[in-house]
Amino acid sequence: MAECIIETRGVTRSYGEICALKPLDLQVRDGEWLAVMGHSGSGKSTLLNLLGGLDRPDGGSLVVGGVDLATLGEDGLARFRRERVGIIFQQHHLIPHLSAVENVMMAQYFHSVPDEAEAKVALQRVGLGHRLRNRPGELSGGEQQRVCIARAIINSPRILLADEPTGNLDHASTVVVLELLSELRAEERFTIVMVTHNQEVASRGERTIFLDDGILVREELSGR
Amino acid sequence: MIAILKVITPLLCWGGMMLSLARGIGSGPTLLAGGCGALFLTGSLLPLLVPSPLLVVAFKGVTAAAFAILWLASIGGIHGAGGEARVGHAAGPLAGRGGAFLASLLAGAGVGCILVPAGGVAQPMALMAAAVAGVSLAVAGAFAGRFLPRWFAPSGTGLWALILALLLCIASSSPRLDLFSPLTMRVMKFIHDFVHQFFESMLLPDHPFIRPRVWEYIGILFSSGVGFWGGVVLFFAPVGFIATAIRLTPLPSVAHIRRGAERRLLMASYIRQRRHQQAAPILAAAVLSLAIYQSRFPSVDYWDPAPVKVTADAAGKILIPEKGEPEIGDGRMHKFVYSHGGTEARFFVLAKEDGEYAVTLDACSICKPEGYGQGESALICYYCKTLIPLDTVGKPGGCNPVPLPFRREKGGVAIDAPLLLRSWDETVQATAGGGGERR
Amino acid sequence: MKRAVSLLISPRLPAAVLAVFFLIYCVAAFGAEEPLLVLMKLTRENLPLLLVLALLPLNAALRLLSGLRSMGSRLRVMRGGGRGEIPGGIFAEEVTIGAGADLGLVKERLAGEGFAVRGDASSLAAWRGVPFIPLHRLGALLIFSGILLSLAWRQSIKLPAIEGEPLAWPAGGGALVEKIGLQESDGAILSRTLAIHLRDAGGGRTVCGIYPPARYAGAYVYPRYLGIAPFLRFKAPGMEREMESYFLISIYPPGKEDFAVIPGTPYRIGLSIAPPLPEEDPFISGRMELAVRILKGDELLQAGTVPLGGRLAGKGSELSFLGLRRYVATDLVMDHGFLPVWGGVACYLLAVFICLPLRIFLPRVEMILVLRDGMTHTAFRSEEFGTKRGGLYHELLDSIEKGRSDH
Ligand SMILES: Nc1ncnc2c1ncn2[C@@H]1O[C@H](COP(=O)(O)OP(=O)(O)OP(=O)(O)O)[C@@H](O)[C@H]1O
Ligand SMILES: [Mg+2]
Repeated sequence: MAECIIETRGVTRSYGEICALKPLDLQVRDGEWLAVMGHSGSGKSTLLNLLGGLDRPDGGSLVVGGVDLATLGEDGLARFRRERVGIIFQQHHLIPHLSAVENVMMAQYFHSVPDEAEAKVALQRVGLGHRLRNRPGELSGGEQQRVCIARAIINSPRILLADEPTGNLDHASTVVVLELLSELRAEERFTIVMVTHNQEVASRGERTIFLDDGILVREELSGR
Repeated sequence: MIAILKVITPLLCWGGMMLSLARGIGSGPTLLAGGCGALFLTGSLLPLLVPSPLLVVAFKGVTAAAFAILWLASIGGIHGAGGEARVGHAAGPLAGRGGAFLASLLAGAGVGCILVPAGGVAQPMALMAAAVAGVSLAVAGAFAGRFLPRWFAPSGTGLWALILALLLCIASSSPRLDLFSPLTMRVMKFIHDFVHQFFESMLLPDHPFIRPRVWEYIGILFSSGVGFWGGVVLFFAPVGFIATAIRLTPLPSVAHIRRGAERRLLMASYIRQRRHQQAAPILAAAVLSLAIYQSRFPSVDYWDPAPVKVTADAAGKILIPEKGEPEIGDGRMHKFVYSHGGTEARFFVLAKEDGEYAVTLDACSICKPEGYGQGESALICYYCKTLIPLDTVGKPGGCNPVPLPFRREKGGVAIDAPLLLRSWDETVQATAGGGGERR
Repeated sequence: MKRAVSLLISPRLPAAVLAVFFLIYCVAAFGAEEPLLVLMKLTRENLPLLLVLALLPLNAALRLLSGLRSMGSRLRVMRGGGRGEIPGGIFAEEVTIGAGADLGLVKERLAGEGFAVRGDASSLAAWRGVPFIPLHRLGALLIFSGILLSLAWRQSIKLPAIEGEPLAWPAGGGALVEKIGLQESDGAILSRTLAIHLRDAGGGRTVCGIYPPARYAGAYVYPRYLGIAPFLRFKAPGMEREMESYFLISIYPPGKEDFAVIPGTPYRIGLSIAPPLPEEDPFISGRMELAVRILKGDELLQAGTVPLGGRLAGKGSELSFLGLRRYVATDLVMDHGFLPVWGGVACYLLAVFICLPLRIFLPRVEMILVLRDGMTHTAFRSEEFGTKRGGLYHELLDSIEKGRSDH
């Protein structure tokens, strides 16, 4: 087995009364495509936020990309988010008054320095070479999600976290986005952790885990 | 004890110097504290061995020379900035322990000089106290350096600009050591000469042909504000050059890296390092502002008596009695004012150490007639802040008060009133407008 | 030899040279009353110092040449489409990539970015913008040579130009000053215009104005101030003959009194332009009255005003005001530095107002790609200021490395 890029041990997270994540052990191989399923409120987003350093666990250990997130301070965590992970949400969170290429350059800016030429190439790679100067409002949902993918991968993250990236898309767009993700993964060899409600989407992954009330109840390998 | 108050700012500056050196020089804190502390101690006790006027001249000379070298190095830096790419300065030709030790000696000598009353003798107790304080600060600074943020690592010319700025700030805490005021005088002189020479060399037409309005503009160059601002520019220029040189230094090529994100990270780190290099020049500029402020508004109290009204007799003679109120022979300056036909001519009488009197206008032939105050061993021109040593009062030239002819008569000093008025009128006419004459 | 040249061309040399003079000035400022004059005199009279000063124009010239040369070789390489040997050091970044590039696609892409592209199957040169011409170096060269020439060889003599008299140039010759004309004018800078009309022996005429200075017999005519010389006839007891002469005294502009001294006698005549002053400037109109005081030793013999053509007599002395001549106190200046300095100033102005904006708005960017042995050799140079850091070049290299130039 290849080395683990994500390794959690007894990670918990509760919001007051609600225990969103019961002690959870999870290991993800470097380069793996993991799908996370479960009914609404089962703690999928909570898990993803913890993995992306957007949130801190109440207990347990959490090692992502060789970094123990518990040992990082606020600055360290911010740096981890900037340099190690790329995140895609269901709602695209693009800045509405900036063009596509500027949205991508924003991510470069927070990471290091903006580089327009590189941002353009990234958009060309997601098939938006002809929509560089359009604002998010002028793009379709699928196109917006592709801008998000460009933005998420622009800083060459080792891990791509996606929270229902296709939740708002029709079948055709979903296929395009998934095709794109697998193509990029083949080139860049990053790890994908993707939350989804859709069995077909999940089957794109190599492994699917099922959460129920914050507990990992089941896991299955797809295609074999 | 009051004396110690005078050296609080200088000692703070010294502490700042130690902190900067601790961050900027590779030597360990023990060596730094030991070496710098010992040299500060030596410097601050020098007034016990060396006569203080000599020490003052030496301090000012060496500090000025160091500043001149910094100037040149900073220009060299700007010229070189277009050259090889680098991040962070290697210790420049000036760097090293030698500079640190020299700066410590100077700082000590500066503090020592400030403690010696002008024309007086050094008080060993005060000097010892200051020396002990300085050594403690040296130790504290050398070891406290490690608690400063990691990015504050002044180096090369930036470090020396900061050290020199602090040294100049020590100097400007005392009018006797101050370098800024003399600088403004020299700047005025240089600009004056330069404009004159430029007209001469480029065969530019003179008064008779040039519009008076244009001439007024040229006259601005000869006002003393130009001296002040010129001095300010000269003071800040090296710091500006250093900051510009840092900004212009090309970053190392990142073209060999084939991943965009990695390349950008490296580039960003180069940019960040370069930005941190700016801390030293920025701090230096702040300290220099303080130095100029201290020079313009010295905290020393000057003896400045209100002018006493005097009158002339029928023959136009003003007689100031030796005995009586005020007593003019007491070694302090006594101001008088004589009014006639709308002119109020101010002058003062000063008995010098050898018992001779000096009688002069309360104005000089260069500056606006704002008058003089008396410090410990010198008068100060309130306008340009130049110090006039007491033994040169009564001699003409420069910013010295314009001397008046007088006679010593039975029990007093006699001055010719019309002569006084004429002299005052001429002096004030030449200086009040701000613009001097070119020839 | 190489080292000497690299020293002479070093950007630090000017700073070092200026340092030398700055230090001398500082030392002079402590000791002398006129430090600038002391510095100039020292430099003029010391060959080593002159040689040090000469390093400045030399350095500027060498840097100008080397800048132009590398610009020239870059232009040649560009025009040749990147073929042939590329001299080292003329580009800022050089990277070799172990993969062949599809030059056709690169060409298309660069053309899309506004580059001019030239090349063939194995090499490609692309450029954009206007090369920065180092006019400021030419400016420095001219100004410093001007200063050097002026300092070393300037000669000047004071020579008044008097109406009706020859302008006696010591080298001989000497044209006649026919007329001196002065006029009020409302120029931006000058309030008057001056015309000194000269006629030389051959009949050739020259008119000397104020600025730019006219040339006469190889020298610049530098008018410094104006004067009026009264033509007086004077007779007094004890004088063998009556005296008739012009007096080059300084009574102009009105308000000044000057003395005409009668040589060999105890007589002095105090003269000034008598108030009330005429409406028109007496220099322009030639009309004025003289206020006269005739002194014998310190004793006042006579005082009064004399109109032009008038007479003042009494106590045996007699003074007639026969006429007046205008004169201009001029310097004749031989200075080979005058033109170079102005030329240098002009170069700096052009550099600031033309070259600098061009560099800001149309900065030169140059790129070379050469395919050889299955590898791509690339070179890059940009004159852009500020934050653009060759992103396009880097991106191009990335795509070549990944063999993805087909995007
Ligand atoms: N900020 C919060 N404050 C309080 N409770 C929260 C917060 N975020 C999540 N929760 C609760 O934690 C539980 C898990 O939420 P989470 O968002 O992880 O669910 P999910 O699996 O992503 O659901 P969905 O599929 O609907 O997105 C839910 O009960 C939710 O109400
Ligand atoms: Mg969710």
